[in-house]
Amino acid sequence: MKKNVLATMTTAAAAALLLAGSVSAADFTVAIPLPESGITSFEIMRTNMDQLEELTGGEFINALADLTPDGTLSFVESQVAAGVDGLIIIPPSDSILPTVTTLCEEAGVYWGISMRSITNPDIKEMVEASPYYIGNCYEDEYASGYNCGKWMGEAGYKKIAIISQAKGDTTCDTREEGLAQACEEYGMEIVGESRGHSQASDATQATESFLASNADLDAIFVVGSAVTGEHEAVIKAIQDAGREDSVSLVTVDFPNDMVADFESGILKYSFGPFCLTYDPEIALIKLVNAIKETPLTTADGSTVTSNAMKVLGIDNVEDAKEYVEVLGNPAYLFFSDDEINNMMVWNNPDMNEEALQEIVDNYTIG
Amino acid sequence: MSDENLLLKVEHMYKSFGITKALQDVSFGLRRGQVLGLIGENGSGKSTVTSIIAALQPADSGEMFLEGKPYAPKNSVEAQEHGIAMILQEKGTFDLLTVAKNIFVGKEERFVRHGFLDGKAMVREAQKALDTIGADDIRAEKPLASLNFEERKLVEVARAMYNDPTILVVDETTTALSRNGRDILYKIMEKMKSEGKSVIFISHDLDEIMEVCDTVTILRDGIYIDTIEKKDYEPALLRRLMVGREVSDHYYRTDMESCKNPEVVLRMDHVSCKDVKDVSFELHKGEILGFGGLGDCGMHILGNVAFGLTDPDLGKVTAGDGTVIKNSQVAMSKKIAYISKNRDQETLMVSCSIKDNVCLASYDKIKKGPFVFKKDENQFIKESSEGLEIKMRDTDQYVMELSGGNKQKVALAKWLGFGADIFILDCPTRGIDIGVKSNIYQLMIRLREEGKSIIMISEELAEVIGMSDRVIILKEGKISGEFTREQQLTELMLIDYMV
Amino acid sequence: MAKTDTKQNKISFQNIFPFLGLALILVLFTILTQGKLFSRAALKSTLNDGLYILMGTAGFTFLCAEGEMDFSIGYNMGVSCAVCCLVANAVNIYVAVPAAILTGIVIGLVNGLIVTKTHIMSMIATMGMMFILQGLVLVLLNGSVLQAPLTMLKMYTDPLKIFLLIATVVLGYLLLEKTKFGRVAKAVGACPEAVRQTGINSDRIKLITYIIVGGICGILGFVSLARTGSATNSTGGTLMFNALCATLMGAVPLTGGPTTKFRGAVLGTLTISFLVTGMTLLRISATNQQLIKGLIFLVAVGVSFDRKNMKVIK
Repeated sequence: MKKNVLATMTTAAAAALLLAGSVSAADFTVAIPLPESGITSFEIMRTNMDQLEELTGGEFINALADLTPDGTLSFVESQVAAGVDGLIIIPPSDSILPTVTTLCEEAGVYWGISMRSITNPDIKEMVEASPYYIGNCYEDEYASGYNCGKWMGEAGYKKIAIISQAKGDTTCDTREEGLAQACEEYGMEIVGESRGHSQASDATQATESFLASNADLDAIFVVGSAVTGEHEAVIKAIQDAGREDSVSLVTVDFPNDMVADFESGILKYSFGPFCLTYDPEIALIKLVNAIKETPLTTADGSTVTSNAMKVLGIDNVEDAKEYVEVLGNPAYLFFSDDEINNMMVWNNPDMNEEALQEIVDNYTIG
Repeated sequence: MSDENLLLKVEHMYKSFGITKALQDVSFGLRRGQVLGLIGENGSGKSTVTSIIAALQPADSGEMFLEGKPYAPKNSVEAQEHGIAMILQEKGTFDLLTVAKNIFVGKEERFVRHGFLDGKAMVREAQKALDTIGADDIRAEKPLASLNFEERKLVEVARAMYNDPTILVVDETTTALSRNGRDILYKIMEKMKSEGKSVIFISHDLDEIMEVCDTVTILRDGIYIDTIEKKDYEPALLRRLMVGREVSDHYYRTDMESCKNPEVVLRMDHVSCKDVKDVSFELHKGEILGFGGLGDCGMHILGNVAFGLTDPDLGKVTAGDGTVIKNSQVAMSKKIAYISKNRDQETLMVSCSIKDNVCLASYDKIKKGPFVFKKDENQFIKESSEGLEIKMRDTDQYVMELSGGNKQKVALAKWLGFGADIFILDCPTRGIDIGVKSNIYQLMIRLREEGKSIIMISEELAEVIGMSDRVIILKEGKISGEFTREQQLTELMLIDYMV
Repeated sequence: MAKTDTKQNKISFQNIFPFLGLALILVLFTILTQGKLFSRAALKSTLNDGLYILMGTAGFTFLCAEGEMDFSIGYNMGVSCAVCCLVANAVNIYVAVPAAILTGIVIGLVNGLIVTKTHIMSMIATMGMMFILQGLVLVLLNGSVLQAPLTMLKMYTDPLKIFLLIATVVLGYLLLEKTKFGRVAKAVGACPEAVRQTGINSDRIKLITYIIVGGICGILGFVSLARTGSATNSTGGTLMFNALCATLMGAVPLTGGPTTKFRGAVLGTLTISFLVTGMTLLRISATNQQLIKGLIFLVAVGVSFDRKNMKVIK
């Protein structure tokens, strides 16, 4: 009996300790459903959020949430209950958005979307009618596919094979549409397709079969990969076939071992979002502007703004090395203090959707 | 009782469990070379006091002296070092280990050579221990699971005797033993006596106590009552001291008439299964049919089969109207009740309350609409346990807190409340003290008079003879003899058919 | 007899532990959040999350009473949600509701049949089922997110939530505490052999319980779809752990038997729900929330796990 009471008390004490010191007196608070650690990108995000806290006087919270529909709604509900002034969400589906809109409107909480776009036109219309929705940041998948295609076309490739996700995956489908556009412009032909891999050896087999059936293959293009080691498997298979001089690898999203892959001489071009958490950073900047009652506007005066994210093409080992070095540092700051201040409308009334997009597009790392 | 002859002295011992006072100011002594019987009804504190001596639990207060020196063991290992060994009432062995490992459980380091267990040496030593006590037909290398209940008990005896104890506590061990097993134990006790060592012997069987013990100490409700020397033994006196009132010597049926009702209520037709070969019999209305035999003669499984718990390989069991008893649901629909020999494991839910146990069979009767109300449950228990006098705090008391006799009464109340017409009672008085035993016999007589039928399976021939209208003796799974009450049966007559 | 003594103490502590836990959480968080714990928004958030936990825990309580367990409830909910969504898109949203419940029931039935017919330990059997269902969701949803017709969202109303809440509490309490089924369920957990020797078909009781639990998962699948409008492969993923936490906080013994009380499910749910809301209100970081939950889980196991019963029951 005593032992049990003791155990309960210990827990209570431990809990109380953990809770202590969690109340702050910030001007406003913003929550984002991403963790503050785990991978370097998240640590970089925290560093940049600390910088934002200092410059804007707000508090930026990394809150517990799983990115499921239920988890996202729980996140919104509980953070609204906790009294936040702004929210960034990464919606797993469009259909939760009407509920989010209602919840945030009732509570007067500004919110924006990171890493996604609303595809359903009905929902889009409804959400954008809300005065508390500030817009979204997204990656332009079409452009990713098109850019890679363009690079290959300019390199003089004629026959390419693709490794992609199963049809129905919106991200890869859109990238392939972009690729198709480039193929048409440059007269390239897709001679092989392999989809929905579940292990790296699937890529080995796919590559072997591409190589065997196409003597004049120019490149294998990994449109989207959900398997670790897939890129390396492709390289290995090309080497084993002794075709490293004639067949190259091109990818959307940077491979894990990007430097080594470039050093092999087979990976020729990789194109991807420059940093996973750059997108939420921009979304947060837009959100802060709205909370401070000085929202960004579009050319026609709407406060719902949409920005495509910075994407980056790397085509040589030096750039790859530099990239890995810079983005491997958790203390990396996306912007200087002056640059941040410049993006705040209350400091710079000329800042708007277009100006922000320009900053994003002209961004250089380092 | 001279002091230098005194091996162990217990003085002013107290022990409580919650509100239950298990021991109150108990004092007694154990002489060298003495077999001391400890008797008392269930819950009188016999097992409590011996388990304190063996240091299985501490006393609340009181002192013990071993050979004149204060003796305060902290745990059972220390007690063993002082030469005190105990054979428990409950099963204290591990099924999955071999006999040898069971004997040396906790003492394996003795056989460790160069960091490895020397299994062969262990088996050798264990076999020696078994041979010493005369249980040489048990092989030490066999897994315990392959032994029967009695053999397992003997393994425990060998384990206790291996350390050559000066005091051996035997707690209700003989109820699990056949004549042969008992003889082994008696021989050990005899030998210890001759070596000036002592035994504390607990048993429910008064005849046995009077036969093997030099002295008997009586406890009642945790209080020391008296100590009687062998020369003053008298069954009626001992019984009176135990129960606290006069108990008649003849608590079995006094009439010598057997049942004459021709109506058959249960019929077993050429039943064969695991331990039973081609058994047929009929149970009549208002009859007590006794089954006797050795522990492994198959009579226990017969009860199981009759209640539909075990499917017979051949043959069938039918109710009076010809319905085949194919499972216990059908058996119950024919108002058959069954109380297992392993009451605490199979018949009762010891971790549940008295209420839960008594009502379990009869919720259909108790419920009003879809609901079961506490009030109705309590009323039901009151009606079911009428005349049983279950000693309990309230109906929410846990069954595990009750004494053996009271547990059996709960089991009976369950089936009385259910309204059974046929009772299959396997060892109904096993581990139960005289007071309750006599209650149960009276109840059986009452049920018989009400026209209910009873199958009584028992290893105690005396009660089989004393209670039954008809006795069937089984030997190695077959019926070896059938007798009616008029035949003036004696135990000797029946034993011939058993072995 | 020594057992008796500690057992009684244990039981009395088990009786007060859920109240103690809840009181502690409520007092602690009311003070620390300066009363925000009971603000309208906070209560709403607690209700929405608590509904899943309550229904899951109610099911667990019945299973635990019988000494059974179902690790697949989360993914059962996921599969039911996916089926609900598919039917809602293919036919209409009204047919989708019974389809979800039926799906849950069928999965529950399969669980029950595996456990009662093959006598595989329920923890292992349902863990296997969990993996199967996890795969099934992926197949049904083709690995992505499926959206329900937007009209589905209109079904997620306060009256529906409150109805489910009250129905679960009232029906659960009556069934476990006031009917033959409940009494027998506890008896099955206490001593299956005694139940068998009393002519009760404990397999049937278990089967019914698994079906009830499956039905609950089906309802939750629908609730989740009505709330979020989408079915994903991770729908229901957190249900099992939360329900298990709540079951333990309610001092419902995993070993089963008569000490199982339905109020434990209610108290445990309140404790866990308010704990989660409270921690969020205080902006405790994600990692620390996990830490606290784990710690509480262990303490609750220590208290509610009646080791002495283990041997008697299993």
